[in-house]
Amino acid sequence: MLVALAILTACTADPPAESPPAPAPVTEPAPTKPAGSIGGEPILPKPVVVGGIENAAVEEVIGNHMASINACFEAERAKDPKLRGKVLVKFTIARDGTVSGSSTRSTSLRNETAEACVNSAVTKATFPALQGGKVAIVQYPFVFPMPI
Amino acid sequence: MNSWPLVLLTFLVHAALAAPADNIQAPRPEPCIPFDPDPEEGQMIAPSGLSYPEVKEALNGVIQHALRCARPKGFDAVHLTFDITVGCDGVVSKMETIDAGGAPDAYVQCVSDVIAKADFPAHDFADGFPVTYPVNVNW
Repeated sequence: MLVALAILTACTADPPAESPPAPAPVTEPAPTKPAGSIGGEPILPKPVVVGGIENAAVEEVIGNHMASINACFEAERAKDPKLRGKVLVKFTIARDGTVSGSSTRSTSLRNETAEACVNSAVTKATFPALQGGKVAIVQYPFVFPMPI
Repeated sequence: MNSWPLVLLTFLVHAALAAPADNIQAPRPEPCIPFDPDPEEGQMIAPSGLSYPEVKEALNGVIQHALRCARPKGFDAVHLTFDITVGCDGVVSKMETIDAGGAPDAYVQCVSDVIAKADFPAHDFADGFPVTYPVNVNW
């Protein structure tokens, strides 16, 4: 850096008298966008429900399936005792209460086997029929190990 | 002596050496929103905290700055996880690295410092609102 400064200083010394310096245009360097990509989906402590079903109904049904959901985690924790984290699962409830799709929206667990298993368990849940609308969308944060 | 290139170079050097978090204005604390349950309403009432869009917007407002954190040598991708506590005044009150993904401490600290500048709205969780933030970086 010092070398660069020294060279630049030398280059910017006063020019010969016969060629008076023209006013130099000061151009701002174009802002460069750093290479790469960065991002993530935050996981909040509570489920987000959008559509014709009450939060309490979602909580109750998920609560009834917690044993099978937790089994997904425990099976993987048997292989990795340090395994812990949160998985934000996004699923869609159809008008008749069945789950039409489930996917991992964000994870700090970073265990694809457990996450696929949790999504599969959620898909098997049946919720009350929607009170209105064609679908309800839920983002549910699962915490592993589950809080006692 | 024509000194404008030197001034420009000095400016660029300073900008390049400054930590990415230094380029983000620190959020101003807002008055906390009081949580006043009304027992006459006859139902379970809990503080509402922050909504998903509020959290997402605040984090999106800063996270791109973390791309200016110096890429650790030998990494094509890094997966980090932070536990963030947002004070009821909307300012991050605590940052904890849950998973550094094997990245060097200096890099993780740089990203953490950027996220800590996120500007959240005030809310009614007196003890702070917890957010887990898994961050994926690819180069």
